[in-house]
Amino acid sequence: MTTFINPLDINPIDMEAFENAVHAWFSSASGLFTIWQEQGAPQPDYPYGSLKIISGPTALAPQWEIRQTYDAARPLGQEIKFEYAAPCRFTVSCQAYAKQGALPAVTYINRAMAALSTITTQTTFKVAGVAMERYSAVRNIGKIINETWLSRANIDVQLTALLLISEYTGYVTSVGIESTELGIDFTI
Amino acid sequence: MATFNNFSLARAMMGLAKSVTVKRALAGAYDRAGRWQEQECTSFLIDAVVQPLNGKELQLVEEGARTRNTLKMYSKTKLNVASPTTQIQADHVMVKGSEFRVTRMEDRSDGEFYKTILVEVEG
Repeated sequence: MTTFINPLDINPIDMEAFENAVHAWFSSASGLFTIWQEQGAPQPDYPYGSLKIISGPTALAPQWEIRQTYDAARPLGQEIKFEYAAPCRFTVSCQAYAKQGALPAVTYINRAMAALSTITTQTTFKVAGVAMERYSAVRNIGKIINETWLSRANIDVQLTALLLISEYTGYVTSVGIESTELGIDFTI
Repeated sequence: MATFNNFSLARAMMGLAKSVTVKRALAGAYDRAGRWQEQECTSFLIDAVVQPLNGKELQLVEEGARTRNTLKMYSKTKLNVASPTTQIQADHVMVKGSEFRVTRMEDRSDGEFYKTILVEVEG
């Protein structure tokens, strides 16, 4: 009996949909032009926001769900399909940057945090298969860059996305038993 | 650079110039999802004088690149050097079929030319 991993499942989590949903929430709720960090790309003008997945995916093992289906129309040896689904936790660090004297960065993060529980945000997440789990406190973490204070704030949001993977296998069609000592030779 | 009467060093130097191809990465842009999208490169010809580096100039080459092929180039065209703040990418110059990266540019614009140091790009 051989198992086949569906080649379409090489990316079992739709990361593009996940990232798009997180970006849509943060950019619209904060009102900031928002980028993903570490792309080797130019820094936008202030104020702006940035996102980075700082941990995950972490599969929540006890919550694995396995579904088994049978389809005789599939190729020989792949008639049985196992579908596995598991929620995976991600932590996304959301940052806002603003010049001193302008609207403080913490204001943008507060706005984004406040919108996390709204139906609009929940719908954005749900369409992408994402669920908001919990979030950290808003941190006001201004710093000095080139001898000038930069207003900076951060919130870490824990989200879950669904990992989906499937594999295929066949079934045993016949079993043969043979023994010259016992005089047995038959196939079921 | 000093200009004496009608004599211009740049003009005299450019009399020795040959055409070289410069490859420049066009500026990209962020898409709606906050992802940076690179643009294609563009190529253009400039007139330049290309020479080997002398011993003193070799010390100007960045560490880690001193064993690679290096050249200096004089031209009237200002070329781009990589910048960590603006994220502008360095121009590449094609010399005799090999590709070189602009690693340093000296502004001699008072003499109407620029001096650049080129390091061969490892294939």
